Amino acid sequence: MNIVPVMEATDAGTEAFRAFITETHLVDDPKDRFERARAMLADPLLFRVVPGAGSIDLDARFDTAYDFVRHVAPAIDPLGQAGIRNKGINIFLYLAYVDQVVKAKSRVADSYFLDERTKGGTSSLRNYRNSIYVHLSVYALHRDSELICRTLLGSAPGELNNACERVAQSSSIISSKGALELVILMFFDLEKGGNRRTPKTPKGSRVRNKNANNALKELSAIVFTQCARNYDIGRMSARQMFDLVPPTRGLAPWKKLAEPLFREDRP
Amino acid sequence: MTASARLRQSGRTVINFTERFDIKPTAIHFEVGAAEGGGLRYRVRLRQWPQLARRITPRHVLTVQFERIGEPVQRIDAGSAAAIIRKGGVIEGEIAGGFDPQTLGLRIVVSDPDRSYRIVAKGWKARPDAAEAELPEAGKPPRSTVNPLRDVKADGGSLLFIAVAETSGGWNLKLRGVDMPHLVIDPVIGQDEFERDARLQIMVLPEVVRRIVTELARNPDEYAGEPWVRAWKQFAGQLSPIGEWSYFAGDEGDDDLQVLESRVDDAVAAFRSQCNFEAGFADANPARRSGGDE
Repeated sequence: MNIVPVMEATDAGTEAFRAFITETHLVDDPKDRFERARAMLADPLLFRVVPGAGSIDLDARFDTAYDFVRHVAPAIDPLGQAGIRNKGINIFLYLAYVDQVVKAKSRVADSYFLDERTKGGTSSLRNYRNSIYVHLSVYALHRDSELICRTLLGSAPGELNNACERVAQSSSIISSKGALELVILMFFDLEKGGNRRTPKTPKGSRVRNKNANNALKELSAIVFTQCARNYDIGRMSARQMFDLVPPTRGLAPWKKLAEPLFREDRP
Repeated sequence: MTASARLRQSGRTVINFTERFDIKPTAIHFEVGAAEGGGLRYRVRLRQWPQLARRITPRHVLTVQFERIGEPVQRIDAGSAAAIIRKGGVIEGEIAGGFDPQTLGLRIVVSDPDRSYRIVAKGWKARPDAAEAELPEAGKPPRSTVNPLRDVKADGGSLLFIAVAETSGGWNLKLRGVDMPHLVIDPVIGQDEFERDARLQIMVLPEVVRRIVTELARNPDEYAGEPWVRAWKQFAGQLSPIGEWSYFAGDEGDDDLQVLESRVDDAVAAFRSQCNFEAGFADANPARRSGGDE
């Protein structure tokens, strides 16, 4: 056990972390970053204790992101939503469990910093690529739903599965329990984890059925964007939203596949 | 040209098959202020309330969403739309803070649970109109209530109850079968707004005193059994030059309406003087006050 209070990176700490991620972008083993990360955490010029926050165990090991958030969230909960969106705390958590949440080849450096914008003509925030931020947000919003937490947080800590990353891009979907359950029940293999296999294309058809990721894109565009203009999707159950899913070429096979799940009165 | 091509070319075409009411951003007044414990208080006033009030019923439900770019929506289930109807289009509450309130967007959604949460009305505001407003704590009465008839205690009770009508249409008095006179006001205004705004009271309350005192003086037998009569006679008596209700009752057989009107005028003038409406009016309108000083 190595219990430490939750800390946040100072401005110097943020810059040090940026250099750390850039310089250790590719390592042989994630543990190669361990020593340097611990040295940074011990430097009072780089990190300071957050008043009001709890403590975490630096020696804790996690099988899944769900285990990770269940350990970390109680220490941040006293700070409310501000704790999750705190850039400095986010960096602290990456360094605290660097060998578990940063893979041998790290992601693009911007993915480890909250409030970073995408480059190009239309810039937008990339927070949905920050895995710890997404893990904590999903847990904070849906900790009462075992189905959502087990599915979206079922991957390794620091990893975002496809569905999780896609739903995290939409601020209205990620905060809607019904929308998340709809996505999970339609596109997720609840037994094996990961996406469901694409429904077989009928013989003789020249157009292949859409895979789960592309069908989810269509679902987002039709139900979560267009239907949201006329329905309060934040209040709707997954079943009510399922009724709104139109039998388009891309969604009809998936709707047919998921129909038995909705008949079981699951949502 | 196909229909879809026309839609693409016309930027203002909106598909609205559910006939929802879109509240314009300019019709939403959105204020945010600091709350104790680092939170944020918000107050939303819907300026198009008269048009909205006709469409919204208490069985509808209200959702208030707070949005910041790159963050999950903070969705607040504000329950039945009865609250917004009661408050005449004003929505108040508190949310978690910890960010610059200038970056807070707002979405108001009123939906119908009986029709799969189909949206009845919705509105959106990208930024608050005021980010450092001084707002009263949610659930507590407004900062300064200036309803003198509510505040005056007679025989241990208030003199007037302010109720909100179900439909629009001015104001009215209910005197029979009630424990105290009910002033029924328009839902567009709402109870909070009435008690906060001296301008509304200066128009209504003197007339309320006039009607009740006149009614009691002219038809004493009709109200003999009402529980509030004694308190009102005591109150009106204090407004008279002689300090007694008999000032309005007159002699037996005295039907001179003009005399009664004149005496009630005296009482109403005394009431206005006691209440000092002008001070409250000036407080509510600093610009007008400064203009008056010049």
